[in-house]
Amino acid sequence: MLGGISIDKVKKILESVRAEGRTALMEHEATEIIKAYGIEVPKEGIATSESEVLKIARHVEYPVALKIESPDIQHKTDAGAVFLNLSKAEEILEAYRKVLENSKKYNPNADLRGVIVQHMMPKKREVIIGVSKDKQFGHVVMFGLGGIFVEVLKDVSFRIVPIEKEDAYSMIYEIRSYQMLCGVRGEKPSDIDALVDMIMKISNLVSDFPEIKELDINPVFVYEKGAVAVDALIVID
Amino acid sequence: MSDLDFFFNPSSVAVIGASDSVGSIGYEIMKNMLDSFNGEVYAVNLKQRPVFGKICYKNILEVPKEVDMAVIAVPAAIVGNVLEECGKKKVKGVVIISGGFSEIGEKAREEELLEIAKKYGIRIIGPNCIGVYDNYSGVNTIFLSKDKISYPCKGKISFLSQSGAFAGLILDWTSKERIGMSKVVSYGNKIDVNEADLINYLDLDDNTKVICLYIEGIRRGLKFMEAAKKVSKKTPILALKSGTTKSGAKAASSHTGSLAGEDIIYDAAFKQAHVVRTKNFEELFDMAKLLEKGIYPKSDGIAVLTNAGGLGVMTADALEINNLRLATISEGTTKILKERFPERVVVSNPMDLVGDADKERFEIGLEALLNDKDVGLIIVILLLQVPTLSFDSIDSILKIKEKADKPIIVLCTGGEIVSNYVKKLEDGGLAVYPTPERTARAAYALINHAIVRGDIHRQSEENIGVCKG
Repeated sequence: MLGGISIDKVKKILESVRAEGRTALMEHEATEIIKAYGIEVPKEGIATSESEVLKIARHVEYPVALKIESPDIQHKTDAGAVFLNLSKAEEILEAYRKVLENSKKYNPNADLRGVIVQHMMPKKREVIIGVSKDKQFGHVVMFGLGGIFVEVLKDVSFRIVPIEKEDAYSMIYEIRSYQMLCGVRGEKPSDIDALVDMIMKISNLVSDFPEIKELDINPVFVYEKGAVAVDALIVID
Repeated sequence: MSDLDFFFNPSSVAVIGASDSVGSIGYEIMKNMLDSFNGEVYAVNLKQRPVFGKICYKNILEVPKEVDMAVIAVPAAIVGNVLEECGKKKVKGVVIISGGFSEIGEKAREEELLEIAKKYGIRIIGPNCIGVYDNYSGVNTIFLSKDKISYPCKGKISFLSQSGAFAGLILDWTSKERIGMSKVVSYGNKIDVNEADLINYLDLDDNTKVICLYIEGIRRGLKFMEAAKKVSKKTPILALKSGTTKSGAKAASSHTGSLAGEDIIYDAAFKQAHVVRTKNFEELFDMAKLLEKGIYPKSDGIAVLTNAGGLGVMTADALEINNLRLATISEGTTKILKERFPERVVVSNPMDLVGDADKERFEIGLEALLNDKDVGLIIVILLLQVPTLSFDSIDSILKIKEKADKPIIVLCTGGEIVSNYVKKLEDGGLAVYPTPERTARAAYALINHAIVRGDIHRQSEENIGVCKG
């Protein structure tokens, strides 16, 4: 990954979150934090006007997703504040208005900071990388395949931070659904090295910032080459 | 930190709360110490009645000579005073047997003890424990009478237990199982000396070849992991952790938080620190009695030599379930064996020597397998009930084992008569197991540690990592 990690940038974001008396980060804040640690994320920007939304959409490239950025709306889908797969200017403008309108309807007092315009990555094998904090062992990192594998089968593995490269590999090999990453039904195998790299970066991030209480990157799209963190959630103490 | 030797090899020990009344804790500790410990033992008790004919001092300050270690068995309310006196006496370590601390909510009493300990630089094991048993130095602070329990023979297994009752039970049980023990420590509320300190100490102990743990909960997880990770590269660590069925899921806003139960985190910690977690205490000591021998394979290939076909197949199954690999017998070895064995013996792995195998056939097979490059470990399955094998046949196996540079495990079981054979095999220094599954689990622990030590290349784990098909 090019470019060093930016501890200062993360510090600044966390300071502003604390200054507002919040513990849950907004999506764009969380994305910026993991990006600062060299994790690949989809191109995105925050639009606060109709002209801006089109400009950003062109910049991040179509298709795009639009989502509300507000500290007061945690469940964006429930609020009707998420629109996916937009590729035309008029669609985007209409979605932009609806995101704002639905958000206001959902919570009239919500502080709306803008609308995230995010490039939609081509769907691929989905995995989850998460962190939680244990009283005895501190940060633990979780790995699993997305969807039913985590939710129904609870097919996940854990390692305690700091994680060594060898641990990161073994936690990927350990899950029962590992073969899914090897390419089934003619698919090409997923990039395991890229996942290890992302796990290591997450381990570094939470080591540097012990105040991070919970972190979920769900989903991570893993490709034949590379892996992208599509959605991140961060909660601090 | 790891210099805790005064707990195990003190030159003098004071028993504070020593008593002459039969059946009391202070009586049993005195009796056990005088019985097995060769250094000086001083009795200390306010009442000052002689204990086992020994002068009893009013307090430790009155003991005329230096005291390295003190065992404290007095009511909780006066432990603080006694500890203060130990400090003035320049005692290096104390084992506090007394209960009545954080386990009943009296956390402040523990804080007080820690403060005193800090002031004088004393190390504490306990409180609320049964303390230290050292089979070599004879230190025995455990208040279990020899009328009630048997103590194990000398061995190289050390056992650390959060539970005092379980530590006592294990001493008694290992004596029956003829499992040799080195040091046993029950550390109770572990206000000072904890698992990490003891692991670090045992790593440097010549009489410890394997460390067994019984854990209910670890307070300082990362300290434990740091110690275990370092130590397990040399001395294997096995752990039995109870409370595995308790669901640890807590309210959390993330997936990770809701899935990160307490037990799954211990699992991860043990894996990362190369600590083998065992299912139960039988498995703990099955593994320990093999690791204790300190002979490690150089290859992860396992050869199975048997005169019982069925058990051979069952063992092959059990090995596979444990992700272990059957060795590929070389062409050279195959050729030699085909020449020397009757035709009905099919030279393969498992190698079935068939029902009429005598001791010569076993000798030939064992020698050949010991010389085979891919064979790192040999499992010998002995069906001793057959007419062609006798009590003497065991001698030839033991003789080969003496010269062998590869570990040999024996699977042998049966009724009362065979149990005498098993005893002979064990007395000869072989680890013997009664079932294919238990044999395979022990083999797993041995190969796992050889990998952690770096004696074996991580072939099996890499295989898991390679996408199949």
